[in-house]
Amino acid sequence: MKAQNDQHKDKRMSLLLSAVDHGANEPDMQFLDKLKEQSTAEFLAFSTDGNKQSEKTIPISIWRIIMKSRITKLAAAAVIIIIVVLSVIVLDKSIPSAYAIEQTIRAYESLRYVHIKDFKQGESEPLEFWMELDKQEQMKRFRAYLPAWAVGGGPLVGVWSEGKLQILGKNDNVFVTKRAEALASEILNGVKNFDPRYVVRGLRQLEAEGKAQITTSEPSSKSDPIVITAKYPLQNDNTGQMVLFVDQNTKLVTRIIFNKSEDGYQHSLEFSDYNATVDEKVFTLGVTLDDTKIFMKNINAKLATLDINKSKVADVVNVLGEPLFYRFRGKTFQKDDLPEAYTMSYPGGFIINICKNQVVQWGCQQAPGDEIPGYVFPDSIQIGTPLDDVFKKLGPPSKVAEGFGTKDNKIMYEDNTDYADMNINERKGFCFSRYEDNGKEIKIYLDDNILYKGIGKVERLCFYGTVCNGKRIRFSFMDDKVIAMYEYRTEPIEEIE
Amino acid sequence: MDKNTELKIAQGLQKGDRQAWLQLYEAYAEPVWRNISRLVGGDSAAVADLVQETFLAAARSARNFRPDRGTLWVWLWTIARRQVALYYRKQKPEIVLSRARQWWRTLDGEKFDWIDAKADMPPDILESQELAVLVRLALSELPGDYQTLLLAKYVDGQPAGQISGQMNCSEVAVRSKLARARKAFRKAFKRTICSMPKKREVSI
Repeated sequence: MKAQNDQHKDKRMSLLLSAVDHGANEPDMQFLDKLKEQSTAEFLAFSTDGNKQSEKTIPISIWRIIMKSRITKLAAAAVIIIIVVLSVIVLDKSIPSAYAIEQTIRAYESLRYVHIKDFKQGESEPLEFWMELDKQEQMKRFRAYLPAWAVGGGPLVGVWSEGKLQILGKNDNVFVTKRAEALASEILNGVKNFDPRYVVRGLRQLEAEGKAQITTSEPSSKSDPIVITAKYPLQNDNTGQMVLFVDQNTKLVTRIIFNKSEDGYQHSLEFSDYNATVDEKVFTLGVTLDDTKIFMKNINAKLATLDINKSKVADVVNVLGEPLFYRFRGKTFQKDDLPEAYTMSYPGGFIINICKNQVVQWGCQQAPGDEIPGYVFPDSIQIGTPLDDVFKKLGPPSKVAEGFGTKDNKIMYEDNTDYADMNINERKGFCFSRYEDNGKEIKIYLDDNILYKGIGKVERLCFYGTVCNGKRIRFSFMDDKVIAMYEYRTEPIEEIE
Repeated sequence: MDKNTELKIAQGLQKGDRQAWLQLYEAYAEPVWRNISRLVGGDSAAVADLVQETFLAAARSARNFRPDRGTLWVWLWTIARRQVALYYRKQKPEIVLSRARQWWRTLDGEKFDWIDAKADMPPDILESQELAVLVRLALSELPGDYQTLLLAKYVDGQPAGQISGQMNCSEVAVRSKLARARKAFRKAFKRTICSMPKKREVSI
């Protein structure tokens, strides 16, 4: 009987799961055949012993992308195209084949635009770079996208245009725009360091010393790329290897694979959209520093017209306008398809959290050094205000708790209710964070009037929440200065079916 | 694929042997396509992109494949699953999912019994595109070995013995893991239709 029952269950499971076959495609054999060649070339390129052919001595010492700081990372992005040009110059004298490297050099003379992707070993998302050159082959504009793995924290977008760099950091609750002359200058200097004329001189010296080897393979089929493999010395005394793929028709480099680079990882660079029509949107962030300043300048006056306990989304939009994004937990939503709870992100890191069409909290977070003044609460505290000044204004905390993070200090609760950190109904305090522990969701709540130091095991981070003039507020401090401040509702969220 | 062949391919990959890579590709290109297609649906361009990304990523790391950590298929599918997860993150399927959830809410019947395989699901529901969306989303949330097991057993109809070879474990282990995979799928499916939050988050 049990066996029969199990059979029924299996059949039902099978029917349910087989739903995935609806609309599923049979393998495209033509595509798979092509991919077989492509992946085999990739496999061989990443295998040190693969692709052995005639060897010629040539100097190449290139890969310097040791990503340790944001500045280096942006600079690194800026030099990638120079690397391509360099590679071409270096290989010029050393490949005795029907393919003439001068053709590639000539092709690059008319380079105006290119889109570059850098795939780093072990990372699924590439670093991306869009570059526009003027007729003198000088950088006119660029855009760099640095994914979270490259910068630590949220992804970063940088746009350089007309001598100015603007950076946009995107998180669930962070949106910062800043002018960054110093950073722009460092990036441009970084590019200078990879000036082909300067590097070629060094390469000639290496060539004379016979420190690098290359092999080249030029397939008879015009649809296959010319493959150039080069081994060269690295600064750490190891040998690096890179493989270039040159399009036989355009003579432009389409890919470079660095098997062993100085940062110890494999990198695969892909070059596309050569000289494509420039989409102006690529080189803009969608918001300017001036927009941000104007928005922040008027924010208090506008908020004064809203009641945090009664305002609905339409009221907010009516007063503040449409947000830049509707986001929640790392996802961006369209206005006509919003979840129950989400964040409205405005310029200057100002956000409004919404749940069930009602305001839960508003306020802003800005990175130290990037402060754009404007949002003030209650009448003098703003981003950047020292911690001591906050307590002079609000009165001292009732208690100081340090280094929290365990159940022992009795501020961590287990809770299975929903609403995440927006839950203020039946609240146990402010829900600072939540995470999964052995499949169970753990939430950390913080009580009012206690100054929490070293919160979340971040030594320099403090948190304080209190009620002031009948309004519920909370602050985050980094290095004893306010970096985030929010006001949140005092009345429960109205349940709406 | 038998253990000897698997081992030979693994050794060949470590040495950078072209033939080993071709053998791996011939054996698994089509199954990878099929399973990816099942998880992302009928967009053949998207499927092709994901298959391509999977094999290129595999080609880059093939030299580091360690047979003691799992079979070739498990390794390959782990890469594919990551690509599928990335695809879903980029695609933001909220609109389609929202419609499918709405459709599910309108259904009459013992819906949780259907999910728990305690009652038969009506044929018209089994044939619907919305159900396919919900099942795909639920499956895509599962670990790679659960996906492999469920698709092999319930969609491809492979017997436990054959699956055990692919997963390099005993039949008993396969059955036991299948039970856990079913449970995980049902939980994921219920989470998909109810839109329960899962992600961790820290705010300041």
